[in-house]
Amino acid sequence: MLSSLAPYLSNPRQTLAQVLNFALVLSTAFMLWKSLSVIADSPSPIVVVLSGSMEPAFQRGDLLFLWNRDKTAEVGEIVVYNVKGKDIPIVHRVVRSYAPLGVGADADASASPKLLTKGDNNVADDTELYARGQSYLDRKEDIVGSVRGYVPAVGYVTIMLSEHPWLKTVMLGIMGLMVILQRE
Amino acid sequence: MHNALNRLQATFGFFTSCAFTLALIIAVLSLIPIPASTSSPSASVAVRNVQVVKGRPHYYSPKREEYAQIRFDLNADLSSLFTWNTKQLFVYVTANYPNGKDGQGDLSETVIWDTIIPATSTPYSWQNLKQKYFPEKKKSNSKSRRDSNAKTKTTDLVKPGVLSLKNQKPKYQITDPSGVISERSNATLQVSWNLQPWVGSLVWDQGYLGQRIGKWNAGKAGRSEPFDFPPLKGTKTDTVKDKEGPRTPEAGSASPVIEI
Amino acid sequence: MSSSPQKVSLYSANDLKNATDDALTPYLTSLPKPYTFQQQHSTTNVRLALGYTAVIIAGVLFYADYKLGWNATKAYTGPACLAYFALNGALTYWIWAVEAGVVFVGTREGGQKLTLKSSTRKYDPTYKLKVTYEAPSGKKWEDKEIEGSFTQWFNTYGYLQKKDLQAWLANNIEVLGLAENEKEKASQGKKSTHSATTIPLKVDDGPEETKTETLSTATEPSAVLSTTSAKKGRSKKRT
Repeated sequence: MLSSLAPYLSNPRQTLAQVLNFALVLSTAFMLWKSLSVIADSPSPIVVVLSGSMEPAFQRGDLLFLWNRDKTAEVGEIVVYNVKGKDIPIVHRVVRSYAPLGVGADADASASPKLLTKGDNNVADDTELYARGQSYLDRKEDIVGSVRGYVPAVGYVTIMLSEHPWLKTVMLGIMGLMVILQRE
Repeated sequence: MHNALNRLQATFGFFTSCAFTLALIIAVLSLIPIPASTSSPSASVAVRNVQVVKGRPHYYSPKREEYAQIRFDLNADLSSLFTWNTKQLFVYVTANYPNGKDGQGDLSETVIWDTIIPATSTPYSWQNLKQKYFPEKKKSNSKSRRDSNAKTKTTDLVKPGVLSLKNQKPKYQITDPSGVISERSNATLQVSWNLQPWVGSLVWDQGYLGQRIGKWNAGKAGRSEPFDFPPLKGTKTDTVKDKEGPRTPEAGSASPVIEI
Repeated sequence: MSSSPQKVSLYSANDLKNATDDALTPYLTSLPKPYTFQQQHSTTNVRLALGYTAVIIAGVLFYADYKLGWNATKAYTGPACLAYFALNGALTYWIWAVEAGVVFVGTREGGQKLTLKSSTRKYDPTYKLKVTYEAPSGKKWEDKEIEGSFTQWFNTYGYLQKKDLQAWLANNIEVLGLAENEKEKASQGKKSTHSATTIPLKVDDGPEETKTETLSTATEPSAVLSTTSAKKGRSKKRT
């Protein structure tokens, strides 16, 4: 094992430079993703549609671009939200927005509108999907972003990667091999 | 190109960049109004009848809340929104009413009816080509009942996006979190649309892009006259035009709210 | 060289260039004593420093995000991204402008610096080497671009022939030509007695004369070393 490492150790700077190339590829991808997160102000600025509840608008595997800098979610907007306690974000349309109660002296300035969502392809609205005891969504707490842009079908790669996790390792391995062996 | 792997890599890389550039061009082009559109979307909506009844959200729920059913007329011409990059148009009618007393307060908005108008499929789409060269026996479309209500059959190749509804029954009966929706005043109906492209950004009628690209025709921006929610049915006589006269409340009025 | 000879693909100009570049350093650092070049790593060090700082920033951000989640790290993500791309930009600029294809930078005992920058065009088997040889005062003794074809030092099987590469370099770069002569003399000197003969030099210009002084003082140690260089000479003659 040491003998195979010897040509790399004898010229440490060159080895370091090649490892650096590989690391730069990975870290640039990660930092681009993070920059997009910062610009859109959302933890996940690009999502892949997993279910068919918004068909025929969004099919499985479509890529959605989110924007999270609006203070309110209007009726008719398509939002991505997380159900409290669950991991999977849901992409549905806002169908109801109730203004917070109270006018004048009663008004609670920090209250935000109550939102109800529904998938275009669903018969019922999302009340069943929300957490126990929760009947409405809150813009700040639950919503991850509002859909602004759309690219069809590109995200299918992500779906395949998540359903077959060994693909991820294979792809990363191939990429690494390419970068190290080619020195371009 | 000194080995096959290299060529494969180069081809794939080139394909990816080309596809990406093409998508970008499509997305940008569909937003720029060139050539300028000949017409603007227009719509008008009017209230026909409003009824407020007591009902339950689910058949097992103990809560009884007030639900309003608003029948309306809708005339809209949204065909100018169908461009080469339009995948579908989502049209929806909302009832907006102020939250406070006496018609003051912030607006609450609720969708009472919506429909999806897909763009006419191109004769070169996979389905159509298959149909042309490998015709199959006709299968009945089980979901067509939902669309027949809306009377917007999209096989109309000439003009998708023209809606003409009379005394349309709403899809959703609305309520308020407080449970009380009777006798709220200064409510309006509003027609809105959301255009979804094949590639690119989504456009709404309100807000920045909607104002720039699919600006409503002057005076026909799809807002109805203000109306008031009537008192709860059965307590006092209704005070809305098109009175239907007192009727015994049917058991059907208290059924689950969500129906197609 | 500890590794066995590598077979290089003859159809890739980039691979050929890389193989040639790799062969330069061992040759230049193993020249006979007065001509030996010490490789300077300052540009490489700066490049590695810039690169690894950026990678470390990305790594720390990744770890923090993994452990703490988006909300906790939101305040730091923005500045971290800016810092990363600034560093990346600086690195790119460094590689493009300052390094610009440098494959070897070395200094001799007298302080003279040799800089070699290599380049090759796609699908063109010409190897271009930009040579800069300057004195410590900054005066450039050589500043030219030499061209050679890869066919001159690669055989048809794809193996680099060191002798031919070294011959090409020595022909085109003066100081290396002198080093070659030195080697020849040293190997011949092994055959004859260990006498510190004055080595006939090519008399071109002044600086060579100053070099004789360093050479004459160095010939004694070189006589001691001649055994090793003679050994090298002998093995060279055999191949």
